[in-house]
Amino acid sequence: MSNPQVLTTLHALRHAPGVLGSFLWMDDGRLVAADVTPARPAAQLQMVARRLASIATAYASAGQCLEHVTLVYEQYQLHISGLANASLVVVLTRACSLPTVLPVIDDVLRELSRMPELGLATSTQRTPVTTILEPERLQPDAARSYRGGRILE
Amino acid sequence: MSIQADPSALEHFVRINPAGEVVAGQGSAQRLASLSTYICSLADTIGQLLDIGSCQVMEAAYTGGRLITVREPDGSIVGLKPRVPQAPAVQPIARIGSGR
Repeated sequence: MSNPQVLTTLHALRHAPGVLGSFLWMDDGRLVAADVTPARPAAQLQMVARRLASIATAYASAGQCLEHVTLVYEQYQLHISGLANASLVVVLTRACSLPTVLPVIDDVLRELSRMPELGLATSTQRTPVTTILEPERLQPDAARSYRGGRILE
Repeated sequence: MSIQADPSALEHFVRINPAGEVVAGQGSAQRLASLSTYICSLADTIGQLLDIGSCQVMEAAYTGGRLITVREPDGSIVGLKPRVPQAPAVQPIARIGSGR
């Protein structure tokens, strides 16, 4: 299941305080590597990855230049950041200070983007479809996307 | 008074009660309600898959701002976008529109 080089890179995240593990999947649904404890079955992580991808897509369609997503649970946090065609999920303790860990995550994303065998582009931003970050301006004659939102100029 | 307690500090805001009804909002409230409900549902499914419980806070960071969704203990869902991107605590913001 795991690409050894990617696994080594992901393992470096564990040196950051509060990081419990991470996994990387491609946008086509392929799980590239997982470094999580306790170990989870690949099929389970695939199902999680698909739903995380749906969340990222929904958020990306809601605004411009999505940078990252954080889901906070009772004891854990899941931090999702994207390369152009892949996403990295970092599992953190609830108490972990995200601003402290973000530079480490950025370093890992940069390192992953330099691995040619993964074919990862360097962009970390997703293309929006429409936006709710913009104020609602009624434009009855404006063209609309299939989602019903305005098509931005 | 902190900026988080001021409704004018929010560009968009919506409160959805446990029955799924929008009970308060401003700005793009309906679209934010749809998005917040959808994200909550997916995040909870992830919590079940990983056996880590329900999701309590969901946050998306954009170049120019943030979208935050909070699930309150009674099951209400609050979605909001602060005008100030770096506004920190989300719980005080979430009380807006609750009538408390």
